[in-house]
Amino acid sequence: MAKARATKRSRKEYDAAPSAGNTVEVLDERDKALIKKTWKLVVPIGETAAELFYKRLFTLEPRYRTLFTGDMEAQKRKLITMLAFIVKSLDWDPKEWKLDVDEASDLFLVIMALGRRHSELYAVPDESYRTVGEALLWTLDYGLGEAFTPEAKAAWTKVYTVLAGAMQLGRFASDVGTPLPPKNWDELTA
Amino acid sequence: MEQVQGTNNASKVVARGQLDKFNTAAVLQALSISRQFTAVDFYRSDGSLAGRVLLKSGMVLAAQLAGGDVQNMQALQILLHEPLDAFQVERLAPQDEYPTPIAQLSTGVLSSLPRPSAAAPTGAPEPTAPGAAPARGTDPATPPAPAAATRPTPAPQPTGVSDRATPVVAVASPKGGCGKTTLALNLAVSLARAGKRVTLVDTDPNGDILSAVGGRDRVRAGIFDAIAAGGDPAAPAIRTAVEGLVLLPALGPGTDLPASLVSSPPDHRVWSDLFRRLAANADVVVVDTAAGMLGASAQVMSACSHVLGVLQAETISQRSFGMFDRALAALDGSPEVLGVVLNMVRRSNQASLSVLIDASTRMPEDRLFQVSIPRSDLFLELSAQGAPVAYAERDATGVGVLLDTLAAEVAARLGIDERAARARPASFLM
Repeated sequence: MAKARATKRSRKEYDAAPSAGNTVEVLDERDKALIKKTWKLVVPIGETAAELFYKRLFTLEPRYRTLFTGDMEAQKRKLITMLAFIVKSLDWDPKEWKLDVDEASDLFLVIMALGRRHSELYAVPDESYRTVGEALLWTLDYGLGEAFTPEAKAAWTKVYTVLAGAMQLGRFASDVGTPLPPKNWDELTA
Repeated sequence: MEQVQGTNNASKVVARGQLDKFNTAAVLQALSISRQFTAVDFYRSDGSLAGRVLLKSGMVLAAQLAGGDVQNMQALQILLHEPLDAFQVERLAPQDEYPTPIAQLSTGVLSSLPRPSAAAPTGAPEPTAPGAAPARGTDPATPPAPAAATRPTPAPQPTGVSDRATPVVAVASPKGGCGKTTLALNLAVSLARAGKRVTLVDTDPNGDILSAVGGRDRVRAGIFDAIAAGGDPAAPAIRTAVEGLVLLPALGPGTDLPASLVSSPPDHRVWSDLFRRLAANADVVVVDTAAGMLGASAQVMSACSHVLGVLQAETISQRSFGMFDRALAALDGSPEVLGVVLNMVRRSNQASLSVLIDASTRMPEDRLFQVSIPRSDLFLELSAQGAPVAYAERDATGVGVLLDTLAAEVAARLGIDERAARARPASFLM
């Protein structure tokens, strides 16, 4: 083959919105265990982590600054609380699959409602999910250092992919009664 | 399979819509984190129900094709591979008893199920019979056809250019002032002088190409005028003095972008249609885009088969190198990166050279074109005269030759440089 061929564009390592043809990954027990383990290391540095996250996000996309006009301190707390909720909600024994969970605590419904709010109120485009994922992984990498092993990174990437997908399903949300993210944020970090 | 009924007043539809960027597997992936007893219905493009999957807490409790006879893993396989159009997620009332799961949702289940064989399973009706009645006996009221989901702010869809033989190359730059328009014009001229039929399209509302060739007062209208007037955007095409080169300008003389297009730039489908038609009469279509690679330009790029990046060899522009990649990654469309050209290189300037070196080492090996274009006053002079470089009376630095060489590189990468095989002499020495 003599001629140089047109270069295929490089794909990002992870894709926020799974599209036809990609391998579709589901979280397994090992992923969940890693998430739980690494999250324990994030909790003590939660405030710093949130700070780092938003710094990184705005470095990657300065125009996102305009989307966060309110109290950034409250916003950072919300981020950590939401992540805590996610980690807690993933922590269940598969043998307990029959157990019922009320809507306000169901990870899927809450995340989908959050996505719906992002889509309806802030018109957040799908591309931004990729950037947010990048910022999140960067923050964990920075904050956890060696503890953020390649396996941990893969697990968090998977979690993020699944959640971003659920959030983007939010624009299809049809039920007005679907709960918005929990009002009592403090309860979640208990 | 025991038909599980949900009591209507306790079940509710939580989501429904078109499977635009989601496929069946992706919907199930998102639902894998739900602990509710959930039914997902999938629909074909004709609106008929294809099948239903029951889930809870990452377990697949049932899968059934409409018609009732194909069930479980077989049904799930078919649903994962059949092209489906729409979906509906319904939260069902909690049950006292649940059926034994047929599978646990896993990467393996969603990704590696082999495609079902062509032969229909024994005893089952044709799963893809159009207009198949979705009646399933004792299930709750057949869900109505899902309403078209409101799409988010226009996201480029994968389109590709239908005429595969003719490449449509978007010339793009993440920031302005990189010489993109000048390069697009001169590249088109060089390709035409090399014998190709070239159509040069200006999709930049600044309409700079016409200015560069001194044509603003010689053209009545452009693409944007045609679109705003509801006419044919290909109509304003004009021939040029360069044989084989046709120009489709952006705007007519003294006109600015029509107000209607300021707030909503043309959708990628408008560009797709236009490029497809232009491709039928050309060997290559070169598309100049507005700088930035976002928004309106993203719509244009999604309709192209290739993207040629123009980056400026000045340190302040280095941040835009990353932007180039990110903007491309944000496109869901199919354009391939044809390559990147480093423009405005100043050999006498340390900083400029360092950018060249940095780009050469950082980019994928075959991405950067061999040819870099130096900063040259010739471009400014010719632009003021309204002529492409090929028309220069004196070209002491050989910029014209460089542009021809770049065109040759572009043609080679696109695979449009067929040359008659040279007859080989018996011996090099006479």
